[in-house]
Amino acid sequence: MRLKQLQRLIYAGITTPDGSVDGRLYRSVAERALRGDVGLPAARRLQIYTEAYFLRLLSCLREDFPATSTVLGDARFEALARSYIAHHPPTEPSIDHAGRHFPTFLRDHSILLDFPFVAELARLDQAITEVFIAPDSPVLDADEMRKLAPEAWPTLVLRTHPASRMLECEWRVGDVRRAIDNATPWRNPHRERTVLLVWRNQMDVYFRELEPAESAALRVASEGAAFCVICETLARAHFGEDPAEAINRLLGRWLADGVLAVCDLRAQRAATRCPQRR
Amino acid sequence: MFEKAVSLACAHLPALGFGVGLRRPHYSQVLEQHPPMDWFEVISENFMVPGGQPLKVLEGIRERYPVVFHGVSLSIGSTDPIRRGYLKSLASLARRFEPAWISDHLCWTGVGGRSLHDLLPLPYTDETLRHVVQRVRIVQEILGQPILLENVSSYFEFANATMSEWNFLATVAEEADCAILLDINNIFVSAFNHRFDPRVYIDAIPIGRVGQFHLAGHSDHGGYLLDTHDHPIREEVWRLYEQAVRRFGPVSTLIEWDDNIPEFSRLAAVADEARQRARTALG
Ligand SMILES: [Fe+2]
Repeated sequence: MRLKQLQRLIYAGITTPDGSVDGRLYRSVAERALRGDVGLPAARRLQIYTEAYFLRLLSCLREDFPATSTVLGDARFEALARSYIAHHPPTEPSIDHAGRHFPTFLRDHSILLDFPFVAELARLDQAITEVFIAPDSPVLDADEMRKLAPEAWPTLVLRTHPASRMLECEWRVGDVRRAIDNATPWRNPHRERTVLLVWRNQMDVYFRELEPAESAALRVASEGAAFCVICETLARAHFGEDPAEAINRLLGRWLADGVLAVCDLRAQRAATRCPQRR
Repeated sequence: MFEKAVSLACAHLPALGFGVGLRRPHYSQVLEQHPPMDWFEVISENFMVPGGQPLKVLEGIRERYPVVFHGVSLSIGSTDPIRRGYLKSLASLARRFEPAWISDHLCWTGVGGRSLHDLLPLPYTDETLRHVVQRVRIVQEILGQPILLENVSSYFEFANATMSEWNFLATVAEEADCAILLDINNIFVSAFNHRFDPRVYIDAIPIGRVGQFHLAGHSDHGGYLLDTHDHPIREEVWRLYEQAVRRFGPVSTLIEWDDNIPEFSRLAAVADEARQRARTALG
């Protein structure tokens, strides 16, 4: 048998679920391609790899989805992981990508009948992992902003930092993840539309529920928008608070948290100072 | 014959001394307290990320210690096309952090665009030999430097094998002009599982080719040994290490510990024990 066929055979023998007809077939062929002895027959030798394959992926999924796995409990999470891995076998060199389809897999799964919020919770778990290793990019902070003349502010283009995500949720899944992070008992979340912001400040990842007006403004900023447009959006969406005060308060918080990126600011300043340069 | 061959791949490899694999539970201690350690080995894939903490950590470590990249997903023996994207990002990580060298395993990790995330043994045949040699040459060309290939521990062998693993490893290194990372524990584990004499393995490896040793613990599952990296190094493995040091000289040695990871100080003590044993072995 050629190398390619051998590898395909062993791959199938290791990954095809044990109890299935295909699994038994692949295994019996694979066993014949392998050498065993009385002490350790070929079948048992192949099985060592099958067990390791699942256990390795299971522990990776558990690590990447800490709240989801806690909420579902060991047995349920394991069963879901098994089915997920069969539907989405890993394709990337790094195992860190193994769980990338897990939230969408849960979204179409009957597990939602018992845990209607769990796909959103998995998405939050995933966003936290994503943001942890998202690209580095200079943040826009208060000092940087103050260096600019006030008349330059309205046309200043702001953008949310690449190490941030906004998640639209039907359920307050942030409460669940928070409880689990703090090692306190979690409760089924309330059904309430929220927008979660996941962001990184220095090297640590945080998340919080956004105020409605704030989420409207940051959504505009996520595409990159002039400061005046962001202010207008805030003012339109804001009720009860003086718009100028709201802008001041929220902008102060975004700058302190490092939610906004600086790249456009630099580009603009370079352009205004020396237009000939590159 | 092998002993006389001049190894180009090993000629430039520095003797780094006695190091440990850098693992997450020790990041902050190493960054903040700078404990004495000759060098660290890092898993390349852990740092092949867009940004954030991992790269910051590696930056801090690299400022004070020599570092070596150890990959787990090169899949040099796979029949899938070489992943050039993977190699490009590995090369750019290497440009940024300048590791003393880059290593991976003599194995395959997937096929048909799928990954098993495991280090699988190859059928040791002429066909496989030609295939691997050609791929090592391509990889070294893309990375612009020779690589070290590590012998894996394994639980099965292929029925169609026409040569031993040690002959296969030695021949790949000679023909592709790459270096060898000799994992002493893996030799011991595979020797038990496949019923061969580990001393024969060590004596068959060409002297000038070995650029690094790995030492680790394994667990005993009755009928077989499992390469778990979660135990202290067994006395039999230390003995084998001493034999290797006598044969290959003062080669850079690294302690691997991946599960039930002990305190950093205990890990450092194991590296020191390796230093002592190597010194004694060399007389
Ligand atoms: Fe190793």
